[in-house]
Amino acid sequence: MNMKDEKWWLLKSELLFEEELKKRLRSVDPGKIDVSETFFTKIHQEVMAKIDLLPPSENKKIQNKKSANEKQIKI
Amino acid sequence: MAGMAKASKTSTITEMISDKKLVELTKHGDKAAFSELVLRHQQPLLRLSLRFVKDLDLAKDITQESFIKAYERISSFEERASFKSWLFQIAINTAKNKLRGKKQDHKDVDEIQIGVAAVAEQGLVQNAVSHLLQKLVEELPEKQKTALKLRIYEDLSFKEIAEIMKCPYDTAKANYRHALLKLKETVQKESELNEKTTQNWVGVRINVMQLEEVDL
Repeated sequence: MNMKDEKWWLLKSELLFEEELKKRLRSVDPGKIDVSETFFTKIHQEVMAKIDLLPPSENKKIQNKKSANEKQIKI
Repeated sequence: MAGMAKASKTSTITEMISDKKLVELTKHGDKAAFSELVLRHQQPLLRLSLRFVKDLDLAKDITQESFIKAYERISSFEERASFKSWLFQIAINTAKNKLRGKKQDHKDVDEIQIGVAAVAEQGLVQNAVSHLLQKLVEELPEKQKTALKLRIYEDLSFKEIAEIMKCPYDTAKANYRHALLKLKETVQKESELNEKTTQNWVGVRINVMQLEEVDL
């Protein structure tokens, strides 16, 4: 086997290893679980509720920073 | 019926708005726009968090915290990366912080070894091998592990991985490749060790045999 063949073979074996690894790791993927729609609805509601509870200054800050950035760009 | 049709139309219109536009609207104080971003990204974010912490309650906390942090920092988001990449970056950092100090559970391999010795069913053994590989991934250096998880589970491009990891494209690629090579080497070493010892670890032996089939 010449150098070129060897390199190609190595690459091929790496790709095959990668494929095998993907297949095996995905078969035990901890992120692949059945979660109900209700669970996500709850996440969404809680996030939005917490955002509403942020001090008004926090929300104001978001808008102020944006305006400041815009002003700076204009200058 | 007309109401339903209207609601459906509104929902379709919202879905058509890009993340970029929704971010812009959020920056102007539009909470409804951020609400849509949460709806859009909560599932992938929860799954990503689960891959890092392997605990549903903790993953839920990370998901929620990440969205709140994203909202609080939205004005500083310069949009060099996509919103999704930026959000993933926040979630990974939040997960790392949560895990810091909290000792990770390492019981799985011992349990698997006992389990494997007791069962002969191919399916169960294969599953044990997959769990072993998963454990080997957890033992990788931090950056390599992150790059590998983002590539293997999320199917992200190296450009996206680089954005999330805040590193150059080549570094992201190198981290992934090093992780891959390290895993390959470990699997090979395990196979050699098992050839020499009389104590068979069925899982590893089968793993090696199968990997040999793919010309390792």
